[in-house]
Amino acid sequence: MKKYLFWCIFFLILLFYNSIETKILEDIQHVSAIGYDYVDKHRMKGTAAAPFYPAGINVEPLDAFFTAEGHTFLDILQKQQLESQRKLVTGRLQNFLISKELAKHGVSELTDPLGRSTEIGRDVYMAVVDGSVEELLTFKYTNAPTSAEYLSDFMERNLKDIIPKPTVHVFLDQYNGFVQDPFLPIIEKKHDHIRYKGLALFKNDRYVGELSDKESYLFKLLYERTKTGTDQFSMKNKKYIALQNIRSKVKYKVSGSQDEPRIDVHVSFLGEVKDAPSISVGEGTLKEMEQEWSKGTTQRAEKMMKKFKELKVDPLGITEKARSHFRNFDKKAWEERYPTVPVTFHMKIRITNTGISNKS
Amino acid sequence: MLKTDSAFHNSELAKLLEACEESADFLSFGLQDSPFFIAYFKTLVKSEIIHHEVLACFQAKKPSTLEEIKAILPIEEVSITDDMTDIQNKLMTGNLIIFKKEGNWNCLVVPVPSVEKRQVATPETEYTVAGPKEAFVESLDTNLNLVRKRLPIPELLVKELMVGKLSKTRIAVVYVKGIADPENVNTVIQRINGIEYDEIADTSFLSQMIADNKNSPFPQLIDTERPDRLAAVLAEGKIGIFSEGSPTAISGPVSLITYFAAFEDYLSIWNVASAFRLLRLFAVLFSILATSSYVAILTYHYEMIPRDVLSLLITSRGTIPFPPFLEAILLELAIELLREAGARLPTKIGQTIGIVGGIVLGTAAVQAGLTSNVLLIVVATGALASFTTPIYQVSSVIRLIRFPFILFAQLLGLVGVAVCFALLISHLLKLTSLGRPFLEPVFPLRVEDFKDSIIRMPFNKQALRPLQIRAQNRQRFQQEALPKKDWDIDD
Amino acid sequence: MLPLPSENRKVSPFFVFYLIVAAQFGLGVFSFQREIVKFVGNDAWIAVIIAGISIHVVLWMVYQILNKGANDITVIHKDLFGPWLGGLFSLALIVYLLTLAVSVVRSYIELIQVWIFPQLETWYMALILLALVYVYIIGGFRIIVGICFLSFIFTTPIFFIMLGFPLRHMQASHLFPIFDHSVAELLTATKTMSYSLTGFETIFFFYTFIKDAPKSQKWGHYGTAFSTISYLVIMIVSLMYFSKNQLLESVWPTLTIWQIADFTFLERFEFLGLSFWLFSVLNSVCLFTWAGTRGLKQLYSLKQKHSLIAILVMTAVAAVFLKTREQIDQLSSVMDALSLYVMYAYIPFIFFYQMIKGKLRRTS
Repeated sequence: MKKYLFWCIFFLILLFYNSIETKILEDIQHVSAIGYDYVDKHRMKGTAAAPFYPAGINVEPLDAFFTAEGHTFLDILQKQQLESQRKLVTGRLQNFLISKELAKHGVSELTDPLGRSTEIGRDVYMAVVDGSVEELLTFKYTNAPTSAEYLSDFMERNLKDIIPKPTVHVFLDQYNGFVQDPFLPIIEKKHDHIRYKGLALFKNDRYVGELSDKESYLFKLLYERTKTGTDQFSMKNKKYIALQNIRSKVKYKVSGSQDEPRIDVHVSFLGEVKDAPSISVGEGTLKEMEQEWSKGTTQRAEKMMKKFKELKVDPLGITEKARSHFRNFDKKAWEERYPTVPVTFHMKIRITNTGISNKS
Repeated sequence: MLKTDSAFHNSELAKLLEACEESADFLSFGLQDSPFFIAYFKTLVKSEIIHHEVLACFQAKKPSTLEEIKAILPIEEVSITDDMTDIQNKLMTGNLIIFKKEGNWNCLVVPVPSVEKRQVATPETEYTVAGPKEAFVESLDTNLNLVRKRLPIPELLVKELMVGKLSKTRIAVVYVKGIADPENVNTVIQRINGIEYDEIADTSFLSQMIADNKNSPFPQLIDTERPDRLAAVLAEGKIGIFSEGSPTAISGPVSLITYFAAFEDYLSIWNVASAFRLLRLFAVLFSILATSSYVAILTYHYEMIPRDVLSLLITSRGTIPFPPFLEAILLELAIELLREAGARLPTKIGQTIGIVGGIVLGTAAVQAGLTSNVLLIVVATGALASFTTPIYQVSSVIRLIRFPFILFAQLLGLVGVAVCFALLISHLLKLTSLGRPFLEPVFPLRVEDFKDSIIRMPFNKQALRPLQIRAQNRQRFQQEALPKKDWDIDD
Repeated sequence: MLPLPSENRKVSPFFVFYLIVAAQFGLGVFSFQREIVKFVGNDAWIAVIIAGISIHVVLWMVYQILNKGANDITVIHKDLFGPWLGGLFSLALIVYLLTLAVSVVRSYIELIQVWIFPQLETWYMALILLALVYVYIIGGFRIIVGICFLSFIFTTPIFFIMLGFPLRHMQASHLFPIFDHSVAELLTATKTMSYSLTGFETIFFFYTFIKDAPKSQKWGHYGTAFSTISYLVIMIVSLMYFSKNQLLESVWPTLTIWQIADFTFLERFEFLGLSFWLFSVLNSVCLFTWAGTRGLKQLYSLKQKHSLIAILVMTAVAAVFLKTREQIDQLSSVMDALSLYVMYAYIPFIFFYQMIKGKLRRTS
């Protein structure tokens, strides 16, 4: 009897002293994209897209935006909260945007809560916006119910084929890791669409330069192994050929001493001809194409590397490769040496087939 | 010493007759031209036998002693006794007694029972498409006959016991000598003998009274209405228990896995059977955890919902005035109501209620915005899944233990679900069936016993009886020799 | 001394595997990386291996001590040091194990508070946890073995499946160059690693509950090897997944790895994983607390069911008194140091003392 009494009291205590705040799904407003514009040295303007689902069956979400100016991520969220009908939560945040202007002034204060919060996931996509973030977010796009949904689809399902995955984890890791510089995609609002523009290069937490959209695919080839994307190049006779990537690999070789290092980058590309108008594709031409591609790409890669060296940024993570190669790696010395380190590109290509037609 | 009529009135037999005569259906009369009296309950005996056999023999032969009558009566198992309790018991079970009012008051007990029994019919709760279609009935003897038919060996022993002060229920403990563990048999017999209860109506009474843990919702002895299933478990070394008047037999010791083993598993090929057994296992897990996870995630862990599902859930929950916890409890209760109403009503009306309740109420509730259609799907699937267990009692347990899970989910989210799961596991770990661990073969781990638990291995791999039952003789049959290793293609 | 436990209370030798894993493989897997990486960076995995090997040696000693004494540690202490000093040693060991239990309970509650429910009261969760522990321990040693075994089945598959998600983002170059740190640095890191592998000392108490106990030694070693390998794998994965600075910043890197898991029907696996880690916490707390009550019974003939309640109440009170992160960290650093002494000083000491005493007895 005493036993039952004890357990009864125990469960009553559990029932009545439960102090956890509920976060019932539909009673909160999910911020699905958030973006920041530069105001002045200490302040920025945050825009949160938190689609609102009105009551009813088979309803379309309504676009809802909250804009506020403030000093930090949380400060701005607090002010946005003042306008919203329900409690704004960031647990389902999908996209995190930063304007180019802001990126130029450094983003470390903004990204700190991303790494600290247990609410925000690690697979939030990040991007730099050329122009006004507010404008990009609040525009009513015709090809999606809400701008947030358009943006999410765009980043998650499309962009991943063109550039390395720009998630919060990658960004924080590169930014924190002392051996690589981060990069983020640049998007812009062009007419009534969102458009990918290129790759923003960061030095520490500051934007310093960018790659064009065409260069950024080459960057992906040099950065990681990939199975997606197409690359276009021109033959000598100004005929353009498009290659579909079947799979490509990249390998970095570090040699020499720490005082005189040498980097060799080996890319092997397995491709398929997709588009070769008015070119007869045969034994000889395939070889020729392969040679042309390697030559052209090597030149492009060298040009890109030159740009990196000029900007003193290392988005490819060459420093990391060197660190893992040399014992007692001296980071300071390396950073000074970086612009002078010789980097050689070796582009190998094999074209497996030419599609289901073989014009000759 | 000569005994007079008045002496008879003081005898115990007379008192017994007097007590019985208070009942309207008791008959006691003297025979014409004979010193003998006959007494019986007319509702318990077959009057044709009395008229054609018993009375006829008096008219023909005019016997003068009980021994003479015994010799000429064409009925077996006639006995002469003066043990009053025995006479009383016999009277109550369809015997008639013949006695003289003088002499030593011995009684001739003649069994002329009229047994009302149902025909052997098809099983209802454990129906299978393939396989035998016989089911136990309410008559103990018929049931034993059904089992003996399947195990025609002298080692199949039947121990008869009598329990219940009022009901005097005949209990039969059935096992195969030389296979079943004598310790288990003793445990069962001791526990049945220890039962103190006046009226035992069914084997389920027994199974509750002799259970190891009487407070556990999990049945620790499993009932079956299939003689083939019982014969199969007896051959494994388990013990079966019948009671008069009950169309189900219980058997033990059992383990949790037995809850998921349908007899149909043995009728289909082993890999198919194993797949379905696993399906049942997952169905039950789903049934227990689905609603509580829904409540936990929607109340506390919205972060876990993927983007595509999020909007779906929000719109489906949009108009609902209740928090997920109340919504889930209401819907679960509604399903329980439907089931309960369906079970109480005759089959045809029950089906109608099912349709009306399921379809009409469900649709109306969603359209009125009282429940979300996602939860409706979750709860209905959970209810459906709970019925996949072949043992009826277990499915109600499964549906019952969902409620504490939902409550804990409301209190502590997924942590609460884990806490409740830990409680469940602690209970299952402590549970025993006839003193044998209930979670076997998982714990204590007996890899050998997995051959017929979560999966069912082919018959030729089942040469040894399960360890859990502690069979005296574990060998079921000689295992065939392994194929040679140095075989080659086309050899 | 009390008689040895009866045969039907004993468990098969192979369960020692699960008991050892239960004691060693718990909350440590979430957070052990940072302290080690702090000293040796990318060579952290070497420290894990060294610590694992050293634990094997200590475990071997433990078995030698127990095999010679053929009883549990309280009896051995009494034989070696007499009732007073021996009792003191036993009591110290019991207090050590119970403090470990407190530290595990508090760390788990903190994890839940940080990751899932910031508003959760410590006493509320402690009440629930310790009630669960009570429900298990009251069932006896066999039930504790049961939860150790089942929690192994529940948690280890989760653990290893979750390692599949970071695979795409891992960089092998993070591991190189190998042996870039001095031996002294490696040893410091090994010291911190050893704390994660502590807890196997409970074998001092449950030894007599194992059927054919000397034969269980191989299972003990398998158990230690399993925990070591689990720690090694998660260490290598985190080294490859995070850059060094990021790893130093993360308090619970394993949970951060779990964050990226996305199944089509569910994302953010850490909520589910953390909830299910309750089993891993339960089994170690049960084991430590049971060992404590068993020791008290051996020493003072206290009824376990009474001492259990007292100990659980004290654990709850202690857990509630640890309020801030610093206090919890302080407790773990104290335990860190203590476990070092227990494993690398106390156990070898008993081992050699028993050996010398045995030799002296034989010669005299």
